[in-house]
Amino acid sequence: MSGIAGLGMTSRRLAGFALPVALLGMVVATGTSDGSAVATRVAASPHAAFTKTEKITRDHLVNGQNQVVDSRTVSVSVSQTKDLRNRQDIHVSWTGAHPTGGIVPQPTSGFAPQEEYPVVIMMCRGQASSGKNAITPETCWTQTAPERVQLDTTSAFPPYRVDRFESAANRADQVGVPGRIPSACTSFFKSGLAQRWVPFVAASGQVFPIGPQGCAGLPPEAANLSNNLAPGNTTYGVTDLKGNGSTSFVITTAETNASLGCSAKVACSLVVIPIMGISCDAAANSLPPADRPPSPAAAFAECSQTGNYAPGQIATPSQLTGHFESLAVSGELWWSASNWRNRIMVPLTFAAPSNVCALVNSSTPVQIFGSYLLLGATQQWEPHFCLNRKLFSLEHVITSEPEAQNFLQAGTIDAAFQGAPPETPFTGPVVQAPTAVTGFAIVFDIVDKNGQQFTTLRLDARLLAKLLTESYAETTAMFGDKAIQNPTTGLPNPLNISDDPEFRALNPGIPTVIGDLAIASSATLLVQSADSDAMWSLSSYINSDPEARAWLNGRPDPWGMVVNSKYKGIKLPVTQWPLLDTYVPPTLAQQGIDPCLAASKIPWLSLVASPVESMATITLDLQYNVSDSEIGCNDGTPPSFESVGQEIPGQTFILGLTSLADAHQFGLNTASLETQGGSTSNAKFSTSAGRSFAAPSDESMRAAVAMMQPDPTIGSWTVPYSRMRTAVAGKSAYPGTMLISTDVLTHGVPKSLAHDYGEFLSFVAGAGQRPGFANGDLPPGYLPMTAAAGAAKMIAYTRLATSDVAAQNSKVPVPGQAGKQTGPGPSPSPSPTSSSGSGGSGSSVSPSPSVPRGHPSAGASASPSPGPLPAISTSPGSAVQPLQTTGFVRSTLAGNLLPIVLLSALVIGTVAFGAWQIKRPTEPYDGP
Amino acid sequence: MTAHDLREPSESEAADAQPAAEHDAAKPRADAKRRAQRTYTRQLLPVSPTRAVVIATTATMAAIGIWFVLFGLVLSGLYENHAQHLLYSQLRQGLAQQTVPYGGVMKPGTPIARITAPQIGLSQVVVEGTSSQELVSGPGHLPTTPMPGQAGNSEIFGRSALYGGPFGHVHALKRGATITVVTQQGVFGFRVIDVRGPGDPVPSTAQLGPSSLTLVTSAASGWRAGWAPNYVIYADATLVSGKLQPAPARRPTVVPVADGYLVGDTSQVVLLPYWVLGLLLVCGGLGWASTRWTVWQLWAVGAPAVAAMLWITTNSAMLLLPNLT
Repeated sequence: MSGIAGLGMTSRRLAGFALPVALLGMVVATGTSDGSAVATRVAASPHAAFTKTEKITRDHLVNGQNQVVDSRTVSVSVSQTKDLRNRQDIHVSWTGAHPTGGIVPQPTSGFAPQEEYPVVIMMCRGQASSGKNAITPETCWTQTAPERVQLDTTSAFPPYRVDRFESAANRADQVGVPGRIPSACTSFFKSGLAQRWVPFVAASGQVFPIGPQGCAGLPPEAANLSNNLAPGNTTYGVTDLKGNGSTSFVITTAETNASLGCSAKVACSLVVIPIMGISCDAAANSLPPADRPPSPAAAFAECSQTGNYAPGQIATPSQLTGHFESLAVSGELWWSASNWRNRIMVPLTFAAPSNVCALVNSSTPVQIFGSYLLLGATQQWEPHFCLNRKLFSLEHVITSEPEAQNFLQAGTIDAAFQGAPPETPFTGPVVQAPTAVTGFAIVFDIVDKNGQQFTTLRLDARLLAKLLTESYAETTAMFGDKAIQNPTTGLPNPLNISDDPEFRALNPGIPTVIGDLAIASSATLLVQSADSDAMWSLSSYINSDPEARAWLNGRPDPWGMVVNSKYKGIKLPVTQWPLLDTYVPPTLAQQGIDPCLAASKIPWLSLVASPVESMATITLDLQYNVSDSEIGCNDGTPPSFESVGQEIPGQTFILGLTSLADAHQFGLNTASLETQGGSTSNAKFSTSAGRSFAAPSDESMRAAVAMMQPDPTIGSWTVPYSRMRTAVAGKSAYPGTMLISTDVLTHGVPKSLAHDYGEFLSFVAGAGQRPGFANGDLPPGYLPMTAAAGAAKMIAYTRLATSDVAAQNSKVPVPGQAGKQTGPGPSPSPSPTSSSGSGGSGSSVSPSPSVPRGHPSAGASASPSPGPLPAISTSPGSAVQPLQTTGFVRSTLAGNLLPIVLLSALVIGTVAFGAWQIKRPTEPYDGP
Repeated sequence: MTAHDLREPSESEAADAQPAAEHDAAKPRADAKRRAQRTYTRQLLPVSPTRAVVIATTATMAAIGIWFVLFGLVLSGLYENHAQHLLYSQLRQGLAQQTVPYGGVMKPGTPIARITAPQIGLSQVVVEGTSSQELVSGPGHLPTTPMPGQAGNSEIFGRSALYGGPFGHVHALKRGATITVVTQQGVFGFRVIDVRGPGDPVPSTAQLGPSSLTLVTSAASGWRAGWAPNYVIYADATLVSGKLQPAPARRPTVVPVADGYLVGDTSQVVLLPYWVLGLLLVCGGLGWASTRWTVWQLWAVGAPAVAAMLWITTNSAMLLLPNLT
């Protein structure tokens, strides 16, 4: 049942030839690229790895004459085609396509195929136009049954039956229907009406006939209808009125879609079909009489329709349920020969699956705990180790960095990845070997009503501080909260960031009107609830910005917005952002309005913030437009709070904090952060003029690395946040840059394990810095630490550390001083007091100032505080670190209520008894 | 009836005094003074309407106050005991069927663990949630913290005085004492590091180790001790036996205000007026019935109804009291 027939064949063959040649060129180009070539790709993430231009037409056959009704030159670009990973997001953009009509909000939803003139993007097994490895509609993945089945309800000759490019066999009344009709499907058959089934052939060879509503059998990953829980990846992209469009596309490998089965061994392609409409041949003179329409004029009229929606028109729900679209130009007929011949095929290759190490090696892995920020790199490094018989199995156990650091200090673990140096130096011999340069990313997801993403955003430290400090009102019900009112004017703060004049001044293009769904997510920054070095780094950046710091200390911004008074004067940096606002809006906390809030009085703004436990969740939320703000209410018994969930285009405005590597891997948009140029006069401004911003890129990270300072006391390099705001070089340095280091003990680690750690560090200092997507390579999001990147001293440190770790000689290299080492020996003699002054006033991590909790571990963290730790081997008396003390949480109600009630009862009882007993003589009584 | 025997009866009192007088009349007249005294006390019974109202009001208030204290310190313990009995069988069944939740978002009030500390005679079923509402049936687990045995610090709240005061002896825990917790993930032994009150040092991460448990309750010193606690104390313990367990994702990051430290639960306060109204209706109904029924009928019908309404109302009011008391 080939979908390729007739006139389209020749040009298809040519394209098949041209395509691998073009791809080969790309492979050579990227394969030989050095760090700088990759740098440009990292800098501009949608930079295309694949581009192809093709002329496509819609031409009817009328009275034996070819009649071209539409002709376009479409150009398609794809951001990445090699070493793809499961769930990875790639970017597809195109120009020259027919403008789309009947637009539905979600291009992957069940209604999306009903769009007129969409650009259909799908994954198909195979890489050739013909032969054994051919791509046919049968090897292409769709999530739902209606995308593969057409049931004619009116005439016997719907457009797909008069498609001039279909083979004679495919123009019969029932195509693709199995010889023996499954009993579940019999009710769908009506005599005289046409049906077309496009079966799906799984990687195993099994054929799923699908059938109407999946009656004849669906692959296990598919669904009868789409639902938001398991969104498909087949995308019906929207083209704007100029013919341009772009969308992100989620790659699924055999790890989540075994039926499609794409993997490093099974070749697959991305297929892009710009829908042009059916090319009609209503006369059907070449066909047997049974397949000729009795009324060619009627069939032609239906087949040659050009659309019921105007280009750019948004479909209403009733139009969608009533199938207002003209079938001939809709996405539903992507498989018809007329559309299929216009496809552009993009060969894809896949990286080793994430579970490859678990499959090949059952030996106990060498574990390194810590930073999520390094996950992108370790995903590619781990297979390099486990697939090499001479090496070992390496496992990166994700934990919060302060936690890993504490475990390392306590001797529970031997090695940890950290994203910032410890507050006080390690007391034992620990090397802090620079491992990768990466950072945090402020990612954003802002989509207009046509489904187009905004790709640039400028933020300054004060805007980030506003988002974090629960200072946006979110709802007018919060206007009663005195904490977020300007004390002088009495005016409440803006509702959300899009309502903030400062944000508008810096980002003139972004619409100020956002939809209902986005109201909560645009008033906060989605962060992790656990401790993280990314938060430490972000809050250090905010703390060092004079404008942001002054605002946090209580000075209103030029437009009068004030810091939430609960956060006024907050000490930064912190590793975990506290939620301090306590206001529960009384107008909402009512049974009839919000039963959840009425039942449990949770401060509203902490529901808006709703931090999540892991950074992976933030990445997932931003990839799928999900808002985690728990302001919804499921009115059950008991009522329970619900998150907003998936936001739709036109109502999508989400900001989050995640890793730079995730931002690259999942195609998230990253914000540029202000580096310098804030005004000291606190005057209003309406443009970003005079302020400099840096987007995360290899160049801006290189500038930051050049400014990093070796600190022999701390034993690592530190990011000079204050100097970056003043020095000339800081202007272009990305403030989110972080140096990830591998901390390993050089005393007490068993010999074979120590050897393995040494091996790992030596890999890190050499081959591990090669950029690329293959096993052992460093993916985008990480700046290769090379001499050219200004990281020669860091690499030198890691090389020195390699031998110390392997030898377990208790020695630790001194950063920035090649060759010099300290040998603290097995019994450490710490002098932590010496470092306490160097960090400045804000250097100590303190729990939030006004959380009245005796035990600060109420959050998700394991450690009460990532602060100072006593040395393992010192006696308790010699501990010089300031100890945290238990807070005084008291309740006079609890202490006094029962005593007062009892006392009053006794007093009143005495009164009652007295009133009963008291003498009330009517006549004098002379006593006994 | 001999009127001359009575020294100071008024006309209305005469009827009341009559039986006594009759009885006395049979005795020798020598005891006339004592007899007169006895009669005198009885003669005070009828009071002016104002005074009757004062007596009725004050006596009722005193009775309510004493009932409240009695309920809080004694009767609520019976309630907790009963709740524990039910929770225990529920937990036992759940553990056997492996259906007890151990992470993520758990329904408040669900039994999730059993905690024992032989040194202080503690043996309780732990429920999820720490508001006053949950702590009436036993100790509660703070939803934002991991479960005992998972990485991190788990916090369990318990009352020290009301509702049986399951954590009433936590202040007496000694360093090195053993606390055992059974969850769906296994049996975990914790060693007490110390009990700390306001101003005492918080144990370091090294002391707490990868998994730790903090018992949170209230205490008081001096005459309040044992029945009117007014500040929070903590007992920290570190995991010494049992393998560290993974924690399922999506643990809540925020909890209702009522789940905090020493706060009451106002979520049920809307119901309280209805219970009070119900109580008043029952009393009013009995008042109406008192003119028509006999004393025994009244007792038989009224006592259970009043007791039930009083119980429900008091239980509801108790939720307003801070959770750790």
